[in-house]
Amino acid sequence: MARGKQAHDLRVGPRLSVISREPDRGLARMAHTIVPSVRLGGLDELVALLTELGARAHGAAIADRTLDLFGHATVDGGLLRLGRDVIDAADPAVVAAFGALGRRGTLRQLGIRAIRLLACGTAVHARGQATICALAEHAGVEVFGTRDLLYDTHYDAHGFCERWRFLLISASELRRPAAAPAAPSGPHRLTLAALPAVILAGHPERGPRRIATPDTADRILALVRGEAGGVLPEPVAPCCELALPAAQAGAYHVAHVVLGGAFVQFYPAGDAGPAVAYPVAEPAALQQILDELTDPERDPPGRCDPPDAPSPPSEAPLTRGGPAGSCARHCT
Amino acid sequence: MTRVTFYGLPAWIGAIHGPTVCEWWDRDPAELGWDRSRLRKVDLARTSAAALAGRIPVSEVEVDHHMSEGGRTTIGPLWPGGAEIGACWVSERYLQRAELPVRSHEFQLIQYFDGEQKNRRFYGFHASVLAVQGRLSLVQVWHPGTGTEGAPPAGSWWIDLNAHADPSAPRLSPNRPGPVYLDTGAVRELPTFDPKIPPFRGGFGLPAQIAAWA
Repeated sequence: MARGKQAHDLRVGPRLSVISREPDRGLARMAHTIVPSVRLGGLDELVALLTELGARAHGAAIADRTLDLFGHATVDGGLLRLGRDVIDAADPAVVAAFGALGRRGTLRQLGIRAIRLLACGTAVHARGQATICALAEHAGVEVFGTRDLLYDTHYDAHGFCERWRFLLISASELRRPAAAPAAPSGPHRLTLAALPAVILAGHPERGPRRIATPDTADRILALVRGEAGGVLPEPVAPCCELALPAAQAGAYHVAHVVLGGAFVQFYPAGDAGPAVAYPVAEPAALQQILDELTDPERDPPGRCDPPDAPSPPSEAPLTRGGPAGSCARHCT
Repeated sequence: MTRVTFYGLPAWIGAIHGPTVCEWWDRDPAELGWDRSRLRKVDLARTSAAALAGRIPVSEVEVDHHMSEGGRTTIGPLWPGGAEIGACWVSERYLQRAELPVRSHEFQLIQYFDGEQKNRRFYGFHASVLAVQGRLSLVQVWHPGTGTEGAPPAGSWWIDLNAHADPSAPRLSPNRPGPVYLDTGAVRELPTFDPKIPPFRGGFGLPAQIAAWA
C-alpha cells in the first residue's frame, strides 16, 4: 500500500502506474524504472489505494490522467494478472470493483479518464476484448488493451511511452461495427407509399407540424424532386414538420422541411434511420403551401411564417442554418 | 502555396535499420523473388505531421504520418513492434525519386502546408455530381479504390463542393464520374473506407481518428 510521499506522488502526473506484485524480475525492474509507481498484490489493494488517494484529493482540481496497470497476461485469454487476481470481466467481483470505482466517483476524483491494461496482447483474444469493453461500461471511462507484445522498450521513467500508443486499442474502437451502415448505392428515389406511416397522436413533433390534405400533399410532392434524394452529411434542424396522408386511414408519412425550404427530408427506414433529403424545385411555392397549412389558433405568429425576402435556393448552405426569413428562423 | 500529394502504395518491410527507418517492397516480395535490389529506403519519421510541426522542411517529407496519429500510413510507425505489411503513403517527391508507379486519384491525398489552405487535407475519391440545389451538390461517391473498378457507389450525399472540395482540382462535370478531393470535414461525415492496401487487407474508416486517451 502506498503511504506518505509515495502516495502523494501517485496523485500527480499524467499516468498513475500500478505494477503487479509477483515474483518476477521483469516487473521488479519495471517498478524500479517507473517513478512514481506502486506494486499491488490484488484487486482489493488497487481499490484500497485508489480510495485512499481519492480521499486525500479533497476535491482538488487534478489534471486528466490514465490508470496504467502493468503485469503479465494469461496465456489463454490475454487477461491481465494483477498480483493474485486476473482482470476478467467474467468474474463478477472484478466487474463490481471497477463499477464501484466509477459509481463512487473515485476515478473522477483522481482525474482518471482512462484505464490501460498494459500486458502482452490484452486486446487480442475475445475474452480480453470483452473484458476491456465491460470494464469501460462499468467504470465509466475509456479502457485500452494492447494488440501486441509489450516489453521494456515500451516504458521509461515516466511510465508507458506515448509514442507506442499505436499498440493500444480502446473499448470504443472494439465496439465500433466492422463497417459503417451502408448507404443505398444510387440516388434515393422517393416513393411515398413505401415510406413508414405513423399515427400522429403520441408521435414526437420536431418543429411546428403542418398536416396536409391529400390535395396539398400532391402539390407539395409536385415540388419535390423525387429522383434526387441524398443524405445531408450534417444533421440540420427542421423548420417545420410535414404530415402527409398515408393510404391507411388516420396514418401519415412524416417529413421535415429543412434549410429554409430548399430540401424536404423523408425517413425511409423510420425515425431511427437516416434521413434522405430531396431538393425542392421552388422553395417559395412550398412556403406558400406551408402558410396555407398554418393553423393560427395553434401556431404562434412568426413560426414558419412567410419570408420577408424570399431567398433563392442558391443561398442554401450546407452548414446548419438557412437563408434569412421564413423557415430559416427555426433552423439552428 | 506549398502542398504535397501523397500516393498510397502497398508495403512489405524487407529490412529494419532503426525505430523509424526501413526498406520496403511495393509488391509482394514472393512475386519478386525476394529481390533485395528492389527495396526502397524510407524514414517513417519524415512525415507531413513532422513538417507541420516544423521539425523538418516540407521538401524532406517522405510519407504521410501513421494512422494512429490521424494519417494514412499503416506500416510502422516504430520498430520493434510496428506493422510490417500495410500501406505506405509516400510523397510525390519520394515517389519520383524511388521511381514508383503513380497511383490514381483514389489513392491520393493532398496536404497543404501554408497559404489559404494551410493544414487542410483532401482525400481523393471517384465521384459524380447528379444534381445541384443551391450551393449543395448531390454527389455520388465510391469507396476509394473501387470507383474505377465497376463497384457500386458507397452512396449519395448533398455536399457543398465550394466549401469542401480542393479548390485547385478541376471541378466535376454533372453526371460525368471523375476525381474529386474532399476535405476532412466532409469525409468525416461519409461512411467511406480507406482503400485496401495491400488489396487483401481490410480498410479503415475515413479519416483515421486519433484515439483519445491512447
